[in-house]
Amino acid sequence: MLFNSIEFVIFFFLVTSLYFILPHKYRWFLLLAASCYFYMAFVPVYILILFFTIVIDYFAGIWIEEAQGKKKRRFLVLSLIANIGVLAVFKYYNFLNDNLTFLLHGAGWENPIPYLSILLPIGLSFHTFQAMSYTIEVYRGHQKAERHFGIYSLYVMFYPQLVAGPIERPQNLLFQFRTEHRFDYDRVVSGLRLMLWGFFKKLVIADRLAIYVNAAYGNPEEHTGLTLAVATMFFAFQIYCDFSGYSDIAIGAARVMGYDLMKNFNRPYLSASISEFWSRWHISLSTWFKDYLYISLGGNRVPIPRWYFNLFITFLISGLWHGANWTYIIWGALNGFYLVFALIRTRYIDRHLDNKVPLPAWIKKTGNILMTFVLICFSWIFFRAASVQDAFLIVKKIFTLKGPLFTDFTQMFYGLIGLGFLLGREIKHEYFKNTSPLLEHQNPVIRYATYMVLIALILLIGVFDGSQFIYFQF
Amino acid sequence: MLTQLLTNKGFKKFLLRLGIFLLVLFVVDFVTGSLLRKLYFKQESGPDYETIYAMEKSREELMVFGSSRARNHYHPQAFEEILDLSFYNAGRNGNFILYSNAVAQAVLKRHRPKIVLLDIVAHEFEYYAPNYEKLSVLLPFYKTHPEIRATVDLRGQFEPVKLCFQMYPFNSTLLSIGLGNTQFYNKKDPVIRGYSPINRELTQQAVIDTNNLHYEIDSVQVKSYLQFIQSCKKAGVDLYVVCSPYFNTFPVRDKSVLLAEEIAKKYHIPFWDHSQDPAFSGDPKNFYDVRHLNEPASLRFSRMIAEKIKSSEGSIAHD
Repeated sequence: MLFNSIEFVIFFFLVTSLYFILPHKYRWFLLLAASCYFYMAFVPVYILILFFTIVIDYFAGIWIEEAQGKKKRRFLVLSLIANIGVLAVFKYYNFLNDNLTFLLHGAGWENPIPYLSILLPIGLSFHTFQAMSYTIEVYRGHQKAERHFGIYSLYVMFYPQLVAGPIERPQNLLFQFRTEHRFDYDRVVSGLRLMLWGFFKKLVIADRLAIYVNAAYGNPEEHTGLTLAVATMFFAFQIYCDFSGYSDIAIGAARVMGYDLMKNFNRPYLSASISEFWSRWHISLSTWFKDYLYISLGGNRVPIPRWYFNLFITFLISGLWHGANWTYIIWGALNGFYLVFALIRTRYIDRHLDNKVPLPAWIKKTGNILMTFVLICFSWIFFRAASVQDAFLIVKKIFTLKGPLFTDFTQMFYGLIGLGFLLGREIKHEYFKNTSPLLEHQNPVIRYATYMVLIALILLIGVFDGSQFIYFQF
Repeated sequence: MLTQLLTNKGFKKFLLRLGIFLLVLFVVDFVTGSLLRKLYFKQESGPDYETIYAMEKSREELMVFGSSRARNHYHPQAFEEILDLSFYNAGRNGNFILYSNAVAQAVLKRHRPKIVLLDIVAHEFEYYAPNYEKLSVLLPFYKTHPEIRATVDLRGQFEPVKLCFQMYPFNSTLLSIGLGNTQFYNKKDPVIRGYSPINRELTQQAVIDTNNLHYEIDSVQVKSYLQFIQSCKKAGVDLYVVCSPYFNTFPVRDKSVLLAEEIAKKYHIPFWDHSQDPAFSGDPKNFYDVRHLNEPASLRFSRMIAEKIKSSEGSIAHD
C-alpha cells in the first residue's frame, strides 16, 4: 500500500480512529495487525522473511542480555549473520553472481552457480537495519531486551516507518509502545500538517519532475548535455521530495497517534559543505552508519590515513546499502571521496587561502552552498543512471553541453511551481526563523489559505499515477 | 475508552475545526472547480478543445478515431474531395483504443456518422499502464457523459472517490486551459478539422523493428475494441479499420494487428493493414518520424483510403 494512494488515506483514517477508541492494552495488537496488513498489501509472502528476522532478533536480544562474556558476543554475531544473510540472499546474491560470471567469463570459464529468480522484498534494508540496531544496542547495554514478542514485532513492523524509515533506535521507539497516548489536539494537527506537506512534496514536486527526469535518463543517447544537466538537477529535487515527502508522511502519521519518530531531513540542499549535507540528508541512516560502522572502525580516533579510510569505507558501504549495482557503489565512493578531500583541503589548503580571499561571508556561504549542490548533483548522476555506462555517457554529454534543451513545457511549468513553494519554505525555515511559517501561522485566515492552496495544487498539478517511492526498492 | 475520547476537550476542538476545514475546502473546491469547468469548455483551440468538439459538437459524416497516427495520417482534403462527405479527425496524441471507444460512445449517443475510420497501431492491445493514466483527458466529461464513466473508471477503483472533488477533473490542465482560451495552439500548430499536418523528412534508413514482439495482450483493451465495433454496427455506421504505414519493417505481423483483423472479420468489418505498404514504408521522404507520415505522404495515403472506400473495395479484405 503506497502512502500516495486513496487506500492509504482510508487505511490511516480507520486505524487512527480505532487506535484512539481502543483501550491502551489492545493498541499494540491493533498497530501490529494494521502493520501486517500494510506490508502484505505489497507481496504477502514476504512477511515470512520479516517474521524470520523478528523471531531471530527477539530471541537473540534476550540471550544477549542473559549471556556473559564471549557467549554474549556469539549471540550478537548470530543475529547479525541472520540479518545480513537475509540481505545477502535477497538483495546481493544475483549481483555477486553477476560479477562472478563476469570474472569467470574473462578467464574463459562458465559460472556454475544458478541465479535466483526472486523479487526484492520492499523496504528490506530498512527493517533489517532497524532490527540490527536493536540487538547491537542490547549488546552494548543501552537497551533492555524486549520480552513482549508483540511489542518487539511492532518495533520492527510499525507501519509508518516499516518500508522506508526513518530507521529508528530501540531507545527512541520501543518505550513509546508502552506509553499510553491520549488524543492530543496539537499533536494531531501538527501530524496532519506534516502529512499534507509530505503529500505535496511527493505528488506535486517529485512525481512531476520525475516525468522529465525519466524521459532524459531513460534514453540518454538521444538527449543533449544541457537536457541531461537540467534532468540531473531536477532529479536532485525529485529524490529529495520523494524521500523527504515519504518521511514527512511517516513522521506525521506516527505523530497523530502520539509517537515521535526521528527527523530524517533538515533542508539538505542549503548545506555549505558535503559533511553538513550528510548531517542533514537521510539522518537516520547516516547516524546508523556513524554509530555502528564508522565508530566501530575507530572513527577519527586513529592515525589520519586510517581515519580517511574509515570515512571512505563507510560511504562505500552506504552506497552498497542502497542497491546491488555498481552505480550505487560509485555514488557512495564519490561521496566518500568528497569528504576525505574536504578533510585534506581543510587541513592543508584552506588555512593558507582563507585570509587571502577577502569576500563577504554571505557570498562565501552562497558559493559554498552552490558548490555543494553541484557536487551532490554530480554524484546523483551515478545514483540515477541505469548503468555505469549510461552514467559516464551522461557525464560526458553534460561536460560538452552541446545541443538544445528538451523543453517539455507543461511538466517544467508545473514542476517549477512546486519547486518555488519548496524553496520558499526551505529558505524561510533556514534563514527567517523569527517569522511564523505559513502552515503553522497564528492567523487562521493565513493558515487556512495555505492549507487550501496546498490542497488545490495537489488536486490541480499533482501527479496521480500511483508511482512508487524511490526508496521502497532499497 | 470511547467515552474518554468523546469527553476529551482536544477531540471536541478537533472535530469542530475539522468541520470548519471541510466546509472551507468544500467551498474552495466548488468555486475553483466550477470556474475551471467554465473555462475548460470555453476553449477555442488545442487538444482539449478538439476532444470537446468531437464529443459534444461534431456532426460530420465521416469521422476518424485513433491516436496521433490517426491525427497525422487522415487528411480532410482527400476525403472531402473524393467522397464528398464532411470530415472530422478525432484522433488524439498518446491515446489509443480506450480513448477512441469512449469518444465514439459519446458521439454515437447524439449523432450517427455515415462512415467511421478507426486507425489502430502496432501494439494497440499491449498492456501499458500509461494508456489508462492518459484517460485523464476524459475526466472533465465524467460528470456530464455517463457513457464514458466505465472507461474512466478503468483508471483505478478509487477514481469515483477522487472525482468527489470538483477540481480533480482539471488536474494537469491549468496551462492548457489558459492557452486554449487564446489562439495559441492554432497559431503554433494549425489543425484542419482535427487533422494535424506535420512537415519534415527523415534522413535515416529503415531497419527491422524487433522491439518486444512477444508482448501480452490486454483483454480490457480488446474488449474496448469489440465495444467500438459493436456500437458502430448497432448504430448502422459503415466502419473501416485501418493500420496505417510505419517506416520500419516488422519481421512478423504484429499480434495486435492480427487480433484486430480477426475480430473485424468476425463482424464483417473491412480491415486494411497498410503497416508495411511498399508505397510508403521504408522511404524516408514519406515520414516525419518512424511512426508518423508527413503531410504530403498523409495526403496521398488519405486519397488511397478514400478511393478504396469509394470503390467499395473494402469487403472483408486484407491487403
